[in-house]
Amino acid sequence: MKKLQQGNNNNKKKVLVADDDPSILEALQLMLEDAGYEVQTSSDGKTVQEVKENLPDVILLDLWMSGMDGRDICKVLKKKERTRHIPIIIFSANRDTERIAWEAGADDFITKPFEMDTLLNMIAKYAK
Amino acid sequence: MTKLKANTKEGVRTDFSLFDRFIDGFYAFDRNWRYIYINKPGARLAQKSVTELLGKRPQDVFSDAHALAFGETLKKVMTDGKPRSIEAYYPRYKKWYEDIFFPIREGVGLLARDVSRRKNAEDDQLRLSAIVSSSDDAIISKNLDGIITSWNRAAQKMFGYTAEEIIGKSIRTIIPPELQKEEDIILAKLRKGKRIEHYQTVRITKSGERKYVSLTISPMRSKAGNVFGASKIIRDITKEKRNEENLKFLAEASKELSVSLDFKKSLHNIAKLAISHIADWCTVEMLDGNEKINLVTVTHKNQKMIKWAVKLWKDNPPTMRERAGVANVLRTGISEFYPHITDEILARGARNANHLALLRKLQLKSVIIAPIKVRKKAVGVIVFISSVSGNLYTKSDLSMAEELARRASLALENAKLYQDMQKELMLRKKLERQKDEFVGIASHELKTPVTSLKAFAQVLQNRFAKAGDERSALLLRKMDAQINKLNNLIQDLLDISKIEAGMLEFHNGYFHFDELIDEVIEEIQRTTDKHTIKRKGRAKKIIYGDRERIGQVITNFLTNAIKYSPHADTIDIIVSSDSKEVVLCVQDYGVGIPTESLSYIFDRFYRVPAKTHESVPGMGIGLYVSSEFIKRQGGTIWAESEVGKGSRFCFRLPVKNKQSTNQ
Repeated sequence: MKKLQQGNNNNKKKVLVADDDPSILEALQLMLEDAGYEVQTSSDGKTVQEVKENLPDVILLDLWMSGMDGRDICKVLKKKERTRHIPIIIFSANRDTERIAWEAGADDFITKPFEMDTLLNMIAKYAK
Repeated sequence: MTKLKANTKEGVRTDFSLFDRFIDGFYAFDRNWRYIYINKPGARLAQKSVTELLGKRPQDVFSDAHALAFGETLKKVMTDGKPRSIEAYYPRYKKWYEDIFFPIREGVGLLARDVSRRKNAEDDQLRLSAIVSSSDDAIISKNLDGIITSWNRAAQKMFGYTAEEIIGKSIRTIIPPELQKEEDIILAKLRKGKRIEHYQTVRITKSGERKYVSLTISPMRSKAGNVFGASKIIRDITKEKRNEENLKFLAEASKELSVSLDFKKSLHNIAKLAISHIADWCTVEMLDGNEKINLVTVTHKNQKMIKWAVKLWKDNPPTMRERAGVANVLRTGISEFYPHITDEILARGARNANHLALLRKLQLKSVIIAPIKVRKKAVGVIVFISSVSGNLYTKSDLSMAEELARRASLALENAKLYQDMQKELMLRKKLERQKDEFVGIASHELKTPVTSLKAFAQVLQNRFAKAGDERSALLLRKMDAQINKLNNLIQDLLDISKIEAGMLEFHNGYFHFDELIDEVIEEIQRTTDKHTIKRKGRAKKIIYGDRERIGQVITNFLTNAIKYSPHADTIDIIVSSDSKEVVLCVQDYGVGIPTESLSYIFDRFYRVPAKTHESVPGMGIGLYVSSEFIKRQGGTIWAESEVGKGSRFCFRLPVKNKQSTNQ
């Protein structure tokens, strides 16, 4: 696990963000922490797929993670008994991949770049 | 009765009155060739009156007298006094006369009689027998038991039997065993007096060769009307049949070549067709890249012989070193034709005793080797072989084989072309895939930094706002608006690539048109302090389409309006609707567009010439992409403008367009 920050045990909702771009991870971490979430970030698809403990409330997943396709990660998570219930939002720079996201079983889709409010509203909806 | 005193030296007068009652013509000439007596039939035969002739010479009355045998004979008899008779044709009467010249005291007497009828009958007979004997058709006759009674020269040539051999034998001699029943039917018809015309069948020669023939059989009747036999005209149509068969084969083979692009399969099927039409055995051999000859296919009428044929080939494969045969045809591109293969030819061609034994076993009779060419170079051959059938190939078979090989060549070239095309197509598809991938990658690579940039700007803006630093928050808000603009440009570029690749996708759904307009106005308003965007009218419609793309078009209209009205302070956005469509126009009060440029304004990379337009930077892709979007969403887009007063860009979209799904 390269950069999976373990959060503390307060009542904050946990969001796992997975993207292979460190800047995006950093910006999103700031944005989500400012909004009151506990944030885990990962730039490695495989670790996301194998998440077992301290499960997040929402997963924000880049579709084109190098090494492992976000679609496959999504499919695996949606297949596993333990992670099936976790809402997954896929984000991608390519609008035309939206269909792929739905096919992979994602709960929602958002294009990059996005408006902060749009993303926060979407996460709030699934983090309830 | 005419009596004349003859002027004779002796002064003695011959009494010709005896001839008055003759039914034949009689003429008497004196030694000076003058007519001294003519009886009535004589005048009739001469078609002159007696007085017209008397005292005249034949040459005085008849201009052709000298040219005829008549004059010649008269002269001879006058000279030597020996009687002569001739049968001569007189063109002036169109008749044959028998003339008997004999000496008389005064000169020459001539008895003449019309023998035309007899002569003509004789001629007809002669002519008939000449026709029969010189006819190319066999003309024979038989009696009602089928016994041959006459047999002409052509029959001998056609069937190999002489008249002596076959007359008195049954006609069944020339009928193949399986067709013997035919004769029963023919005889039954003849007995009823019926004629048989142009009946096509097969007859067999003395040497066992089969020939296609056309029969015309007529009953022969006695004077009393009884049928006693039949005359038979037999025409050899083997050549025509073979030609017909050749053409049929050619047509079928061509069809075979045209239906399949699998050339080798076509060749195999052609070889199969060949053995049912024109050959006992057919092989196709092709050169490979190493100048090695390969056997592509072998067919043989007799399945069992195929292994012999293959063995022969495998044991003694032709090589390009050979001076004749397949190798030579491959080298020269000119076909080889062996109409009649003798044992001598085999012995010469055989490599050793074993080879010769094999060759003999194959009973080769006649061979054609025709080249298959690609771009004028021979790359293969089709070999037609006649063996057990005994057929000997002719020039016309050779032309057929060459024509077939030519068509096969064309088909091969087509097949090669098709293969090349497939390769080209694969390459192009690969390139297209690479382009798609590029679009995806570029989209990702360009948008990734924009994404974090925007997120950072928004986080900061949020933090400044919370800290009460409204000024900094506003700056970051402006920065965010510029980031959006940058993102729109990137999106336009990506969309152009997609339009060109034909893979522009739409994500249609129902949305509130007015809400979208408000969102876009709000966003664009953030990018300008100078202009106020005023909205006039509302659509009050939920429409079906790609919300984001339609938003992109409105954004485009508004940013253009701002860009091209640097000295104005207002931009109007006019919205209206009816039951079927919504209409949106963006009106600026800027420089305007010259009429001649208006029609190009939606073209890709088009920019209004800088002369009339103060040079404003831009890529010239926004309106092109907008027009593509609107058209593909089932709407129309247009522009109106007046130089110096401003421009108006509009689109119209159907409210509910079920057709405008993803395309």
